Amino acid sequence: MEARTNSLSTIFSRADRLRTIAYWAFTLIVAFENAAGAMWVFLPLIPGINELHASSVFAGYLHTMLAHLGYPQYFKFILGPWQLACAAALVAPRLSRVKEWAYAGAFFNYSSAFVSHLFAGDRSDIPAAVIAVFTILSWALRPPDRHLAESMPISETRPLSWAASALILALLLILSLFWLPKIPSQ
Amino acid sequence: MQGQITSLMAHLGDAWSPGQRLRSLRTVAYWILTLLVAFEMMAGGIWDLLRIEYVRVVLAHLGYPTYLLTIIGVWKIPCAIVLFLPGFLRLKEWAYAGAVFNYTGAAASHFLASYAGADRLLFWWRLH
Repeated sequence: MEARTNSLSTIFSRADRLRTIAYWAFTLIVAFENAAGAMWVFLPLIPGINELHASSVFAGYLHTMLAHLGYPQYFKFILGPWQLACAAALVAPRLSRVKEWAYAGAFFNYSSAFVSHLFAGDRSDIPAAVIAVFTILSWALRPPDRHLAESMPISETRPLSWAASALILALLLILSLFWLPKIPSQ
Repeated sequence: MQGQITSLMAHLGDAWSPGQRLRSLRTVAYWILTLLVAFEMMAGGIWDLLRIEYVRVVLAHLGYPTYLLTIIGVWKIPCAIVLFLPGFLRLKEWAYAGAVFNYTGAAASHFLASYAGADRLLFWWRLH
């Protein structure tokens, strides 16, 4: 009996661990995608940045994409700040209500991007659909202390967790510098 | 006996307290604002899906593609419904998020589209 309980709890803890790993994998991918999206908008605005980094590629990519989908060029300045906030909220500890909004925004954004490509007459934009699905998966797998209402976190959040999330966000932003999009030929 | 009287007093006090009045005021305010937003959402959603002239003109002025009306309209209708329904707390949270993204996005779009080059003004240092 003892042994059986033990093996059961091992299975459960393994499932829990797997769930945690899956949660963080999906969350980091979605957060990275959002952080990179914000970087593409704001990096090219820094004066003289082109001597340090090929950020004109970002600007060119956004310009081409927005023009192709028929959105106004200023739309990126609406999307960019939200995307940065979304990335920060997703990697931060607790903030369950803000996270709910971040998930909502990310899902609206990526599902709309996918649909926009369809409307604009492109073949399906698979990456946007994948990120939309990852957003839902990250949302579904989020641990209890990141859930809204049903279980508010009981324990104090250590300052270290906040520092860690700030570090993750910084890393995602830096990583996005190396993620150069290919500008599709019009 | 002492306890009963105290609790009765407390009960009466509650019923006539400013706290109680504030709570009912809060409920009234909640419903007025919710009805306004839900009505705007429902009307806007229907306008968007029907692509009436008004929304087409506004959209063209802002420079968005016409198909955006379908995407936004399809979301607006469930948003309006969910705001009315009892329960559905998490869906309500998504509806509120969507409404805020929608209306702040619309306001920002009007600002950025009306002032040609406003996006440059926001980042004026680039011009130097």
